[in-house]
Amino acid sequence: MTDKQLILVVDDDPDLVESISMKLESQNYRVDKAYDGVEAFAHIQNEKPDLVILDVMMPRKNGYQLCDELKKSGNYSDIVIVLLTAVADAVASTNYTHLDGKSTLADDYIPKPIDLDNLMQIVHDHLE
Amino acid sequence: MKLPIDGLKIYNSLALIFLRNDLCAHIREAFHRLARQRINVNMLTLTATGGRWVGAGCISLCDLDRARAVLPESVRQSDIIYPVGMLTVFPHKSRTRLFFQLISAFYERRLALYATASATSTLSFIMDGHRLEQAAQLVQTIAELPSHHTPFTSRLHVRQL
Repeated sequence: MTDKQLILVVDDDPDLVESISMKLESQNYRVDKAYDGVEAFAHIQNEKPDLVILDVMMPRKNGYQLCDELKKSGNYSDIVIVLLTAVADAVASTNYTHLDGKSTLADDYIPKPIDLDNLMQIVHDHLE
Repeated sequence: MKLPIDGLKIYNSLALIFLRNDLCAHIREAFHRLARQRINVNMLTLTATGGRWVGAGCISLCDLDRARAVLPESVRQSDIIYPVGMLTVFPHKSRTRLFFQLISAFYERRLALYATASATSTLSFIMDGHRLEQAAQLVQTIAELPSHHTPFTSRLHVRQL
């Protein structure tokens, strides 16, 4: 076992997953990777992460669906979820917002294109 | 022994546009025109050979008519290849062995590649759309996906708002 906190990065763009992962690892976090919502849920069942960085638009199961599933579950509702969204301008507030007509229980969000330093600060603030 | 990879993605129904000019600025301007039309470019490469610049950009086939309307007149019919597809293998982890094995396998099967590109994590190969499935099977003779993983066909079309 390790004391390092585990972060799951979920996006169907492998280059973005890799970029975020490298930055997180440089900040001394452990990183797990998944490329769609279904795969992400399987990873979460295998090892529960402390935080999930979650893209919205993904195949098979999108970010909204996975976020709702986790936050409404008994076992995983305490996992911090940071949504990556290209429609951040439509977000009025966090923690319970309407994005594109859908509700999400995400703890935070970050707009695309991503500012990695901003993302690191958000991750750090939630996990400290 | 097969090389481990995390994923294999297939993108269908694309068009590949070649832009050739002695000045890089002209190619940049052409791609800016596509951007102003909010046409998503899935892959972009820029090559300089003998003082001549060649830009290659992949767009969704359904955006082709809009793209033609704003591309420079110097772009000829032969500079646009369609329908093509893109096969993306990831992560490459800077393994040149993976790249060379894939290139060799495609060559041995006479599988034409119109463009290749590498990025932070991915290796991308542009080829005829109808040969994507064959190429994906070929990749799996060289590289091994995680258990329960299969090649994933992207059905998302990114339309910029």
